[in-house]
Amino acid sequence: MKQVLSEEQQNIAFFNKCEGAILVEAAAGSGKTRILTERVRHLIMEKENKFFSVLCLTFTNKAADEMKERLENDIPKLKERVFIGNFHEFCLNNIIRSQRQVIGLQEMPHIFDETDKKKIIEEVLLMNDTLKNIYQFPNAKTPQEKAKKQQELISQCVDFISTAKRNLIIIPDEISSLEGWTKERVFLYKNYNYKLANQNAIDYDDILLYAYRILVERPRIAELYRDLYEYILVDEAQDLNYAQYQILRVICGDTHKNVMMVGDPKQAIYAFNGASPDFMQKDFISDFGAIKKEITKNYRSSTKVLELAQYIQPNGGIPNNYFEGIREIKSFEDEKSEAKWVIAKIKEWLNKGYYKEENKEVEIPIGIENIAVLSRTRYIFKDLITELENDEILKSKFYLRKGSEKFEPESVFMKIFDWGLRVIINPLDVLHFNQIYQMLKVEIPRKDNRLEHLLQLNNFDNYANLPKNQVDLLTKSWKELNENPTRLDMILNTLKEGLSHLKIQDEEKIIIHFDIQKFEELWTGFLMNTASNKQSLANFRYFLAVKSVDENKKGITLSTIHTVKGLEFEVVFLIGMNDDVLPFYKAKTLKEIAEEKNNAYVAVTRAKHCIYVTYPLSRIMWDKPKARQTSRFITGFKS
Amino acid sequence: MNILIDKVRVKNFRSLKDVEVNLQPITLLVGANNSGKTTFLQALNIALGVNKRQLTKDDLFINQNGETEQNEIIIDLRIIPINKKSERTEKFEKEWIGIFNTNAQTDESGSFFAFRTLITFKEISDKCETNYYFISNWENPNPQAGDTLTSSARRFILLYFLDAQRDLEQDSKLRGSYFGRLTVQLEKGYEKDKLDEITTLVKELNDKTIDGSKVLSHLKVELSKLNQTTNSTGEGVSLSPFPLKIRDLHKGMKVNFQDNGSDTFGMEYHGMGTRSWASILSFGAFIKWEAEENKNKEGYFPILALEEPEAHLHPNAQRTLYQQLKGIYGQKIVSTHSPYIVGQAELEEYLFFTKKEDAIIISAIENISDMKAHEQQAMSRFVVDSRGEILFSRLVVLAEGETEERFLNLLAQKYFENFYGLSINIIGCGGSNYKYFIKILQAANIPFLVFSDYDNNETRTKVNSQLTACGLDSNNCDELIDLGEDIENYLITAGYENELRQAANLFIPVWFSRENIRERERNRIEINEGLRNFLKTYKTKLAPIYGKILLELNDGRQFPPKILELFIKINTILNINI
Repeated sequence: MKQVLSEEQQNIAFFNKCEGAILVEAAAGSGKTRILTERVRHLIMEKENKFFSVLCLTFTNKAADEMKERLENDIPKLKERVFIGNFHEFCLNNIIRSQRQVIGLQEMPHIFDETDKKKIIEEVLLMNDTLKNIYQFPNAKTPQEKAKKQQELISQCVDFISTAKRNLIIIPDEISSLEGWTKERVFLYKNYNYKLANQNAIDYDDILLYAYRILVERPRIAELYRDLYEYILVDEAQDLNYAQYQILRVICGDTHKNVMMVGDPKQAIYAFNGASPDFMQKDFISDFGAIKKEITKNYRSSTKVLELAQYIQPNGGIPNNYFEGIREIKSFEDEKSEAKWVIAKIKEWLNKGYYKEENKEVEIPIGIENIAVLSRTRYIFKDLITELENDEILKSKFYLRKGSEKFEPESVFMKIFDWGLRVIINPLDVLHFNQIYQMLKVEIPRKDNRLEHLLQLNNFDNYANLPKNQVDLLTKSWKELNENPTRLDMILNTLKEGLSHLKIQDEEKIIIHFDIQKFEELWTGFLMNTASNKQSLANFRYFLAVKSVDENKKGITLSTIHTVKGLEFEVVFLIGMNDDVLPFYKAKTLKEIAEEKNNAYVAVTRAKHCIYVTYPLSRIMWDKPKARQTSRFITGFKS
Repeated sequence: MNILIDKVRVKNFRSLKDVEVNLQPITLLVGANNSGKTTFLQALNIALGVNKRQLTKDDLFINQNGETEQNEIIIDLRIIPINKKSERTEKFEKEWIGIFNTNAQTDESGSFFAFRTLITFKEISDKCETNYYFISNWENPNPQAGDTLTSSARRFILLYFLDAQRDLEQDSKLRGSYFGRLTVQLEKGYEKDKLDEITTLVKELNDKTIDGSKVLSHLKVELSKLNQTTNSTGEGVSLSPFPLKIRDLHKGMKVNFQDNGSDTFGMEYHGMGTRSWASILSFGAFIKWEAEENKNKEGYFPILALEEPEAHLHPNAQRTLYQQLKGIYGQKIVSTHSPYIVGQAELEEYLFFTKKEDAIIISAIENISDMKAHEQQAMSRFVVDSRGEILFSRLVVLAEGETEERFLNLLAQKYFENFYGLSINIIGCGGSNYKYFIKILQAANIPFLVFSDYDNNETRTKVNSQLTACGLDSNNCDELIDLGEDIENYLITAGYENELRQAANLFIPVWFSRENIRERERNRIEINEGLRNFLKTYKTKLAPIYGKILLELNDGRQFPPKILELFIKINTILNINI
């Protein structure tokens, strides 16, 4: 359905008949998605020339889905004219899938997640004497200390590799001449990539890197995309990173200027991921000659919400709002009383069921999906979650949003099932194949035919970590899956049925069933979102890789600010608003502090009508309660 | 037309085990009956056809042992951008860029779009599943399960299959025919007020027709009794000899055709040739209309797969076909048995179909672009234009000239039972044109024999060099039968001097009139004194005469040894038992 745009929004959305480069700096709630959606509609429906396509890159799937939903009914064959999706989806399913042969890939690569990455890094560390020596931490006093240090080292390696890839470092030979690249670093980077390639796998950062390589190595392909996508739109452009911006640059070349970037530098909170608003504010303007337009009016939030947001980040003043809204800033003795108050308040809203102001006719319904509790970090939710779990009414009505974290089963049983599934899809996958054998502590077969071995996994007598009858069940299910690769639903039923006959501890059983249920949900979501001829297991894995887990969850949202981007709620609680939390205690430099401020701004502007900011005066730190300060971002605030 | 299907690959479909061919804006499929031409068109129809039939396991390739080898049929197509001269260009035009979307690929020459149609049969049942994949590397295609075609190309590139059973008389009664599909839209062509005017006129015409007809008025009165039985409150029964609504006009539409001053007749009174050709023309009209309608809105690329356009048509009419076909919008792939059509086409436009053991071989004339212009011209003129029939032969004997052609044909008709049924062509091609014939016959996989005089060193060198140019070893050439001298001298050497003299004497009274007695005498003397010279002078005219004389011999000398050698070779090649 078509949405009405204000005159201000219209002038921006259809500026210069949609021709030329334009940067839209749009404040929170100013209708970014609406502007993008209506621009796409305008291009497709109003332009006389029908021979072009539109590329619309969003930051989250939620934004993409929302746009698709709003356009689908009016534009038949929307998919043929417009690509709407996030950057990774575009690079993976569009560029890499179609053009992978250019970089010598016969088959689609498989995507390894963070855990896989760490495993491979460990393998590489043990391959080189110097690295091995460092990794063993001979000076560690206790095994615990050693383990902790090893984990830290691996995390550093993960960061190092990620950063290199985000900086589009391609050719290994070039690396040695780069500053700061020691022999060991080169060894790590080369061999890590080599190990991935051997298993026909890539990591998440590779998605952008590979797409970039394709476009650079075969300029004709870049030209193909340039000709195809005559209009390009980028959402949340303040979070573009180097690789993403370079991909856009290669696609556009020097001639393609019809690019609209929409973003809000005040909401830039992904610097730790290599993102920077500079790409949109500086490079885009100088490279594309973009014209800058600002839209500051917040059409989303009520006056009370806006007043607070304005205090944190002055931005365009406060327009005349229909709703006055509700705002409370409260301190509590400790975290527990804070949590209890939040729960009581949530119940109050749920009992009432709607939001309405005196003398105003509009009544906004409020349910669990309209309420969010936000915080800077996840550990702040500890007490709240405990309280929620003990609450008879709310205990199954909330979820902790995980954002971009990928689904991973918790039970050993389903973990092994999942690894097996990956081997079925990709028999070259040594990593997960070996993980199965290591977990079960049985001898890893030397021969190459992994799939065959996997389907005979139950040939051993004894296993660690899992009883034999469960291994039997797993083997049986893999066999079935191998024969019916499009019937994961059926195989999951086989598992449930099989498990019901086995003796398993209650706690374990619950976790397994929870995992199976997760699989079922994800599979159903995949089927709903995928054309029937694409419903393969391999595509299911890609789906998991580019989709986040929480997409279809219902309930009160508990979320860190980073993963709540682009969403809006009627009622928002911003909890734990202490000075060591927001700004985060690690933030030291001015730039870091500025980004922390952005975080506070993002959090507050998620609220449409009611904002509650709470903080405890003391928090338990290492078993002892310690006094805490109020966040500097709100201390001086007076209504 | 700015795109072209330039390459097709078919695997495991009926008699096509594994073939790959190049296509042109118009391509002629040439070959004997049952050589796979229709199968090839059907393969294209599976990938792009507007009307498709259900496939069964019978459509899988079956080898010599009667077994199917694989459970899947593959049809790969490649589409390239072209310019007005039909040369490949670097980029697709706007309208195709969006349609091919990111499934488009690039190679060293520019963009292309290729896709695979994969039909997989289930192990047990006869059911099959059809999937489409994009192909990124034409030479080495390896589409994976996820590489599903996302391009909408198959909605805009449409193949229309016109089989040999077409008939405009039938078409005009069928809504689904191209004639029907075009006339159904007839309302579109009118201005609004014109439409109203015609509707009024038709109503008036209806009323007048009924009022003026005793039969219809009578019928109308009787039928109005229906109003009483059904208690109808509406207008009740009415008769309309002519359709009331303009959009229904197409239902009674007839095509009439007047030929050479005769009366105008409806199609049903015309011969099948006219009806068949009219059906093709109505298709052309439909395509042109659709293309015009889609202009600037969407891409549209029609492909006409046509079987034997020459069916039932007079040879002279067949000559005009090629140009008319060429004029139809879109790409054309035409199977034909007509030397007249073949004679008009360019060398690049042929695809030759031959059956070898269990599978079909499709071939084309190679390296045409490397040939010199005069060579290409010679090939077109001497071979396909004047001797197009050889492309439909099972075997061709290339003899020196007309003399040999006449003589050998006469003897062969006697030697081979059912000579014409064997599709053997014996032709004189002129000493310096062997190579053009041979190259085309080689391309078409048609066996041939060269029957040469080799009468002097010069000829010998000329023939040898031509054979070498065609990749044959002139010193040891199975295809070559050489007489060592010209045919007349050879026959004298072989002991047929009396027969030749007899022929010459028979010829004189035929050739020189009674009045010219002196001339007759002079020639008689010449025959006696210089038979060889006389033979040389009246070469071609004498050949049928001594040929007939030879055939009447009953002393076992009917077939001179070298000619017998030729016939035996033919037997061996065609595997005929005498």
